[in-house]
Parts: sequence; C-alpha cells; structure tokens
Amino acid sequence: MDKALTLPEILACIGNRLDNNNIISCMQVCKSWRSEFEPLLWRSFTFGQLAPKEPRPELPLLQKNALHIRQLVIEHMDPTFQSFFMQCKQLDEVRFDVQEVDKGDDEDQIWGRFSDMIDNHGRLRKIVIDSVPWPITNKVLETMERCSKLIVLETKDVELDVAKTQLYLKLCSKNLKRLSTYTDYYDHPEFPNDLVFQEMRYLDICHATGISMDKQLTWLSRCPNLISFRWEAWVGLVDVAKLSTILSNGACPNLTALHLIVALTDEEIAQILEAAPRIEKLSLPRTGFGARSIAALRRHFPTLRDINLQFCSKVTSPMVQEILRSCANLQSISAEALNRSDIIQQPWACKGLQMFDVGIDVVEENGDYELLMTHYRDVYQRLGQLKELDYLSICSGNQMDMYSRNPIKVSLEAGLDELAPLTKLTFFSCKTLLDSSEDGEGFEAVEWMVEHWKKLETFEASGLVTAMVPGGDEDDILEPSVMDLLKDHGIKFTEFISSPRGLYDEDADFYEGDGWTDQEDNDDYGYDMDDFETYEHFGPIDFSSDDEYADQYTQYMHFAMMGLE
Amino acid sequence: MTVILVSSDNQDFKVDKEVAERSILIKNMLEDVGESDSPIPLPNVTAAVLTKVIEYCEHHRNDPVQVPEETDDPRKRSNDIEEWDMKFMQVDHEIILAANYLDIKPLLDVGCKTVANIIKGKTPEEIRKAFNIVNDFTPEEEAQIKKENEWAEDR
Repeated sequence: MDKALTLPEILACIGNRLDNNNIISCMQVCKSWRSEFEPLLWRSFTFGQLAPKEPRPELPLLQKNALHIRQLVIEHMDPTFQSFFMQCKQLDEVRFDVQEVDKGDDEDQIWGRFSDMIDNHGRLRKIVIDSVPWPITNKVLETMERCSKLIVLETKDVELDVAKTQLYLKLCSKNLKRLSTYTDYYDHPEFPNDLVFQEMRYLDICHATGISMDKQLTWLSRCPNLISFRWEAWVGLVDVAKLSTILSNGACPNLTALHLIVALTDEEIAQILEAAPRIEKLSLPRTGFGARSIAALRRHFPTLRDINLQFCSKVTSPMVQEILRSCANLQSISAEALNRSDIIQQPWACKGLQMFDVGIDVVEENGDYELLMTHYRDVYQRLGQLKELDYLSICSGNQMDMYSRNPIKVSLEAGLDELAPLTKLTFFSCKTLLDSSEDGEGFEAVEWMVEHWKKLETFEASGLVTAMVPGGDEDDILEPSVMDLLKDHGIKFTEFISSPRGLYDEDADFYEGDGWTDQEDNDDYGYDMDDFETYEHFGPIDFSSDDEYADQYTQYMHFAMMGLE
Repeated sequence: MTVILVSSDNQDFKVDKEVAERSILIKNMLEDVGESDSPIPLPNVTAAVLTKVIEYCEHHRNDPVQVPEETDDPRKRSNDIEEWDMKFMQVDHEIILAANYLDIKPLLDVGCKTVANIIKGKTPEEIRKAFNIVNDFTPEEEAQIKKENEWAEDR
C-alpha cells in the first residue's frame, strides 16, 4: 500500500468526500483503514425511534463510538441507553426532538436525562429544542446556561411561563451569539430592566406569541453587538417610530442585516431605511416596498449586498433595474419582474452577483418574430456578463401575473448560448418556461445546459420537462429523456410546482405563489461551527428558506380572511 | 524574486517565490529565515515528485490563496475537479504525500478527491485491488463489520 493511504490526515480527507456506504466498504478493506474510517461514520448520528426496518447499533458499539459523535439528533431517550448519552462528550451540536414518551416513562424524566447529558458540557456549541410536545423544565434551562461553550440556541414551540422566560432570557444573555425563537409561547413576561445580550450577533424572533411586539423591539434594543435581525410576525402592528429610534440612536451600531416579514407600508419602510445607518442585507418580502422605499434605499446602494423583494406588488421593473445598475457590491437579488426595455437602458454595476432570482419579461412588438428574438438575445447577453452567478432563476413564480406578461423564452434560438460564460452556476431554474417548447427544443436547451454548466447541481423546472426527448421521431421510446440526461450528469431535478397561495398586503391584492421548494434540507445547518464568526445569517441560502414561512403565512391569512367573511 | 528548493535526491529547483509560496510549509520557512538566498532543503520530496508539484503550483499561481470553504458539504463536491487537475493527478499518490508534507491544501484536496472518486461504488475487494492493499480480516470479521454498521447505510 502507498504510504499516502496510511496517513490518518489523508484518509480523513478522502473519507470526507465519501458517503456512508463507501465508508463502510473502506472499513472492510483492512484493519488500519477500519480504525481510520470508523469515526467518520459517527460524526453525525441520529438516535431514532426504533422502527422495524431501521436497525439501531448495539449499546457496546454506541459506547465505543460515543466520542466520535459531533452532531447528535435525539428522537428517543430510552433510559437503557443513558450511559451512551452520558458519554457523548465531544458533541458540537445536539438536536432534541423527542416526540413520544414510552409507557411507564415520565416526561419530566426525559428532560432530566437530557439535562444530565448536557450538564457542564465542555464542548457543545449549538442546542436545538424542536417542538417537544410537553413543557420544558426549569432544570434544563438552568443546565443549558452552564454549557460554557454554547453560542447557538434554536427553540421551537417551547412553552415559557413567566419564571421560565426569565431563565430563558438569562441563558440567552450569557454567551449566545445566535438565537432563533420560533413560534415559542411566552406568558406576557416583563422584560428585565437590566438584561443586556452582549454577545448576540444574530437574533431571529419568529411568530413569538405572548410577548408584545413592543417588548420584542425592547429585546432588539438590548443587543448592542447585533449584526442581523430577523423578525417575523403574523399579527401585530410594528411601532415603526421605536424601531427607527433603535436603529438611529446607536443601540445596535453594527446592525446591517434586516429581514422583516411584518406588515409594513411603503412609508414605514422608507422611515426605517432612513433611520438605519448602513444596510448590507435587506429582506422585505410581501411588504409595501415602493417608490418611497427605493428613494430611501438609494443611500444604502454602495453597501447593499443582498436584497429580497419577492411578492411586493409595488416593486416595479425600473426599481429592480435601478438596484442592478447602482449596487456594485450586490451579491443576491430576488424580485418579481424586470423588463427587457428597462434592462437595456444602462449596464449593470453588480459584477459579483451570485444569485439572480427575478422574472424577466420581453414585450412582444407587433408580432415581429425576428425582432422578438433579438430582444431575447439582448437579455441573455446581459445575464451572460454575470460570470460569478451561482444561482439563476429567470422566471417569476407568480402564475396569475404571468398571463399579463411575456416571459423570456428558454431556447438556443432565443440566445441561451449567451450564458456559456456562467461556468460557476450550480442552480438553474426556468420554472414553467420550458413547458411550451416546440418539438425537441426543450431537450436541446437542457442538453446545452448540462454540456456548458459543468458545476450544475440542481435543475428546476415543471414536471412536464422531464419527459422531453430529442426532436423528430416521437414514437421512439428508446430515446433518452431530459431526466436521463440529468441523471447521467449527476444533476438533481427539482420539480417546480406552482401552487396558488393567497396573499394579502395593504392594497388587498391577491397573489399566486411561488412554489419554489427548499433546495436545502432544513435539517442541514449548512455551516461549519468553526466558521461561526463569519457565518452570515441572511445570505442567499437563507432566502431560499422563506418558502416554509410563506406557506404558514398563507395558511394564516387564509383563515384570517375566512374569519372576516 | 526566486528561491532554490532542494529535493531529497539533491537536485536544485529554481522557482519564483510566489510559486513556491503556494506551499504553506515553504512560505513559513521563508518568513522565518527572512531575506536569505540559502536553498531550502525538502528531505521528504524526490525530484520527480517536486517537478510535478512545481508544475501544479505554476499552473495555479494566480488562483486566490483561499481557505477552502468548509461550509459547503464536501461530499457534494468531489465531482468538480478541473480537467487539467484530473490529468495531472493521474501520476501517483506520492504527490498527495508531498502536498500533505508541503502543506498545499488545494493540491491535497484535488488528490483526495481523485482517490475518493476511485473508491466510490467499489466493493472492499475492488478497493484493495485498486490500491494494492492486503486484506488482514477473516471473512467473518469482514461480514461482522458490514452487519454492525447496517444502521448507517444510505438507502
């Protein structure tokens, strides 16, 4: 055997690129490989509910490997395995996701066991408490506070009475850099006067109930080192004056990322943007962002890196064009619509753009086919200049709106080949654009994509596309389809499903929704713990998770509307 | 500015400092000795391998020196080896060893990706054949490993 294949650091580097099945094969190769590869199998481990088809490792094997586990998901806390849990001393992350209690077991005892295993843990940096269906105990909250390395906490559906809220806030104020409180229930607590969240960098308050919007803003004002604030609420009015004061009076001088999914009018957004000293990331989907807002945003153009204006009915094509031509540091943009006639006005400044998710329209003039083709090509040429693009979506998901539009055509004839310079592309979506392709044209387009975009990992389109075959002889079932083509190149296909989604904004406009599904697995945290200081909460990846929230928002609005009737 | 590298078999290699500094080991050494013309001995690298390593560093001299992004799932990314790198790596594993010793992270990554791609989809016996590894397990032991790790199989 080559010496290279005996060194632990080299074998680990190889193993990092293999899936579990391949790692198991490597473990069977020889004794030294077994000991080098085995830990890799255990880095991430789920202690799941015992289902007949899911074998669980035996206790001795679990104990032997407990120290190799870095990320642990607990779906079940069987007392007979407590010794194993107690041995998981090298954990970086733990997700507590127990949903059921065994017969004869007690809910508080399960919390107790969890509390014992994390007590005085010297390494844990992230804890997730995920929708556990019975109340959290004071003891667990106190124990978490004793985890000296803990910097990330995510809680979902946790019930916090007044006393527990005090413990929770105290825990959060200690060392936490990132907090996500997601649909947690508070019991109208008083916000402690002297509590400061000194270390907090990323604060995410999502649908918190039992704590007023006003107190949520107080919470924000107590985070002097905050970089990013994500705020989502179904109900309740935003005290825009209070928020503006927090932004302008230096309470959070480093706050440069705002992700506000709350009811805001154009006027209110303008007020917030005027108050903010500096904006780098801005996400205001489904808000009244309009002419006043864009005027106030201009001051932030030089620093703006990410912007999400999806489902904002007042955002016009000239506004989107203005952002693209003005913001030299822009890395990602999501918006509904952009017209070719605006695009050709001025060149774009955002040379480093990595994510482009905007529906593009080309107005048909007098049915002049030749002219239309040159117009399509204009747009493709412009997009082809964005050489850093990683994510490209050129069709709006806004189905209802599409009838009044003339979206760009995806074909080689229309100029798709102008996108050959986009060698870094890993995600491409054309949503429903390929559906109406003529005989063989769609297949030809996809064939071109897989050939020119070597790094493409995901292709999103409607399900109709998968069956497309090369033009000509349609009866020949032996011909490869688009699906075969993608499979051969190891590209994942994501089906775009346009689902109607009623939305409501200040003008009571209804929208059809973007059926954009999460490209990232929600359980995949997508970052490395060591990179925490640089982890950016609201990068392009984060925008993709909006859908999940959007669905709930829709549901809520749907019920709210029915209630009104 | 150039530096002189000396291979284990005492051959001198004159290379641009910028190229040599793709190796973090050499970069650190140069920083330690300061302004000096003295040749740098590399007792763990033969001339044949050093030639290849320098070729790699020349080809990638203009790449940004970057810490590879650990945030990305490396498992996803073993397919994206550049064509040039792929041909280059067909030499042998000595280069991986040298990359590890000289601390040239991108070269080590490409090397490990190449090996990983060879391993993918192969049975234990096929892997042994590919790398000339002697099996020191009994058939029972081998079967036992397979069995006790069934839980971890990706289905």
